[in-house]
Amino acid sequence: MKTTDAIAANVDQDASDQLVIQEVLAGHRDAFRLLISRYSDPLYRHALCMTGSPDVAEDVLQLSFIKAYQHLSEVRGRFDAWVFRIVANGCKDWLKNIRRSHLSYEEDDQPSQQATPDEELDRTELRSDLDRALASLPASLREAFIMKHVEGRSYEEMADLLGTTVGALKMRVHRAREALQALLEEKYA
Amino acid sequence: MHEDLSSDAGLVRDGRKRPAPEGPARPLVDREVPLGPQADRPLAAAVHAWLDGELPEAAVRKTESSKDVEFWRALDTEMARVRRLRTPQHVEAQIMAALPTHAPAAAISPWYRREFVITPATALLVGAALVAAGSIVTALLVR
Repeated sequence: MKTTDAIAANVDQDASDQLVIQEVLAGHRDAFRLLISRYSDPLYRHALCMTGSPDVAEDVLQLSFIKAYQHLSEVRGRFDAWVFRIVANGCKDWLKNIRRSHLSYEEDDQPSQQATPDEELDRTELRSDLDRALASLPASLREAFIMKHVEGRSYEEMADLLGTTVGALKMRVHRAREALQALLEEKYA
Repeated sequence: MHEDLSSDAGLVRDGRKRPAPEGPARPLVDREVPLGPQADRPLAAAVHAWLDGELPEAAVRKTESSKDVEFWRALDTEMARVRRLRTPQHVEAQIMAALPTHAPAAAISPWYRREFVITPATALLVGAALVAAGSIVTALLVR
């Protein structure tokens, strides 16, 4: 029953997104604000966990929404899945560029020290260690772990979004868990 | 998989196999699932199943993995904090200010992907043109 309700809600949401898209394409630029407020939170969390830096996450989010706006007429299917792929690719490109630019991975791919005040209050030692451990994982393992454990997505949904198989994603999540436990258990287990 | 074509793949000239060189294996750079930091011990399948929502916590706590359960519970509490994070308020305004002022361009599809519509009048015209062209060609050939 819950699944049926969830599917119905998704269909409603998707239909509503399509209406907003039509509005924006008709020249009502302000309608795009609705799409931003609907999807920015999960996308921001994804970018934050992938990059480890609130500043970079904001930049990735901003560039992704601008790209989404410019290519809005090309949306086929669900808007949220389409914009998620833009953000996910933005994060991966950022991670690739950081390695290519000969900057030290250890120094620059670590969580930023510039957290927002709210976040600073919330940040515990475990959170800092978790961020560091996540940053040491290969991007594909990190992405799969975040989608599963932070975003709470099902393997089927992840496979749909990333264009890969459920089996490969389970393997990535399992490897990520074991790697994280290896890095953190000495201190926390 | 990248093959090293310049290698003699362990063969010496008389065709006998050379003993495999000692040392660490060459890393696989194109694995679909790259290896992260290596775990000292793999997590029990039951713990993975519990974390995937396929087993109840009680079933895993009964086994030797109760320490792992504690560890993942603590980590989940931390991840729950991340799940509550919201986009900073100024970001939405920043994005809106950075958007182009004009409406997004309509997608321009190439002619071969566009819908092909033929009306009865067009069909008649095309048919008549083909008949006329056919008769001209026939007349030229007959001469």
